[in-house]
Amino acid sequence: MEPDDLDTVERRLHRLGTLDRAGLAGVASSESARLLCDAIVAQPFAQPASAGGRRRRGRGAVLLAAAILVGSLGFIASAADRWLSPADQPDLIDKMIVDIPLPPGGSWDRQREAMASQQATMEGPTLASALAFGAACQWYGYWMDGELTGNELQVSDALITIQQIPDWPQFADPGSKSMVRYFERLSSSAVAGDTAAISDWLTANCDPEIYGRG
Amino acid sequence: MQNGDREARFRAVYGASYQAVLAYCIRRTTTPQDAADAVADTFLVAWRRLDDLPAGDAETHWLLATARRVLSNQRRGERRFVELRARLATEISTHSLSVEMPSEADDRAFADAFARLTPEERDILGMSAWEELSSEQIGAVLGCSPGAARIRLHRARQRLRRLIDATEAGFHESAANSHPHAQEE
Repeated sequence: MEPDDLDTVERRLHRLGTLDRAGLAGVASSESARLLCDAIVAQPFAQPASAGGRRRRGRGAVLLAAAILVGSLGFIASAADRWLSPADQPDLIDKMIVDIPLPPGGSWDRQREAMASQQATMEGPTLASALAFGAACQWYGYWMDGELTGNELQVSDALITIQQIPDWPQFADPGSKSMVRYFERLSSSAVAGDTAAISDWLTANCDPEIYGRG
Repeated sequence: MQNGDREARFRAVYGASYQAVLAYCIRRTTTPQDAADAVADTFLVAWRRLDDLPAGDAETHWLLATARRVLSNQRRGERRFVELRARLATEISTHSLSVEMPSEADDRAFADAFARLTPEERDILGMSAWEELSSEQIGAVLGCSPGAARIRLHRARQRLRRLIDATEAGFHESAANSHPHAQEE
């Protein structure tokens, strides 16, 4: 092929990708296209973050996370002698995780191993809360991976669940809204795209083997 | 943005860009289902990230850039609107919207050469020939400067030419070997 027949290449290239215009217009105006649009606008979406939210850095979140996690672990320890024995836990874990979503590629294996190795007795709600906390770690890890690789679909998918985490029943405590507020503030950081805050939180609170960045 | 305004803007963007996104996805996938998935995922991201969407012509480039990332990360995880995706895939099939392998030998050789390019090279050549984007617009989709887009386009064209030469030589050699009498003449 001679170097000057660019036009020939372009013409052949153009033919290679030719699509029927009437067909395209037909699909674009079809019922399925309209229904897809309706279905999409019925989906939740992330609210834009305020400038102040964007400026917030990780230090406060880390301290808050540490305080709540320490409190949560203390709660686990104080309840240890009153509820579920280690032998009772595997079956209950199987039932509890049915209601807790994981991101694509997520797994309960590491948490099962960790809980089995602890051989701790704990009450049911605490066990559920610990499992949900591990799932939250995985969702934030999934979000972080999406941010770092520029995968907007992954980030958006993660944000949908991250914004629901404060409402997870495993974190509902009739006596306190601390966990709800904690995860609300954390999700605000994610919505604001504050990777530093989330990275700090993951580092401070989550086992890298659980959230997939080990 | 108020919810009503948000929905109105999305519907306007969807109506204006659906066909371009659909064509982009069909040309870069091998099955109607993959194309339907990519279209649905692209607009889902657009809905969730509507505040990031630039105004004017740039919105289509933003959508094509999103479609490009969706296609390069086609994962098989959670899927929303499974039935709608299937319906859309059926529509694509019904309208025979696919890039067919050419029937003429020369065009087949060309298609073979094109298929041997990297996905990135095919993508940028397609943006120029099929979506008819300028270097500035390709740069907007790829997230690079117009100059960088021009260089990448030029390199992709050069490599395509080399592959065409090699492929056509192979086709002619193969044709000659399968017709020994033609060689003797």
